[in-house]
Amino acid sequence: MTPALSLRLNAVGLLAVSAVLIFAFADQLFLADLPCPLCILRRGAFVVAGFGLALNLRFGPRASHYALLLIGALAGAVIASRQILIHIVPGTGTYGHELSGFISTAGRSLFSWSWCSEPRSCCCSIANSPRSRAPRIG
Amino acid sequence: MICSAMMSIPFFLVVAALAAAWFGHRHASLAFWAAGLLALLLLFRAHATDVLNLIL
Repeated sequence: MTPALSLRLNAVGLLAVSAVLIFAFADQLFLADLPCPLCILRRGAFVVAGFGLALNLRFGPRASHYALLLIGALAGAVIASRQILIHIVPGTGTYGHELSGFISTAGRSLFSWSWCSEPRSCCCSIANSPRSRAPRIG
Repeated sequence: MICSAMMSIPFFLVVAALAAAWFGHRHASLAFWAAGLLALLLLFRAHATDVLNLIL
């Protein structure tokens, strides 16, 4: 992968993180879906993870920057897992809308989608990390 | 009120980290980022067992 392509992919990733945050704020402001503390912390985890992508754009791709992305994504996955486990028992209801107001998303809540997206960003960062692409021999 | 204001601390710290990165201070931005992550985890520890207003 060329450095230019890597930068472009990092920019796309940062736009994707921004899109998630814009979507969450739109859900809050236009559908009056007030966020709970765990919902706010999930947004914070997205911001923390996106910082690694921003560093890649500013200082160039480095393995340590991808590590920041990984750590932020893992923190977000932990928070989202906790929120899923609160509602995992059938009949205990949910918190917030199920995204059906915007698009058809199989009726999942925002925290379920958050849990799905955080490990995905982990995998992307591992795949794009410079050290994972150029292993040292000896 | 104070508790809800504390929820904004990680966001402000990451904004400070982004500002430091913008001006080329990589180590300062990493320090702000680490502080933001620490604040996030401490807030999670404080709110992990919060009672939610479930929609039943």
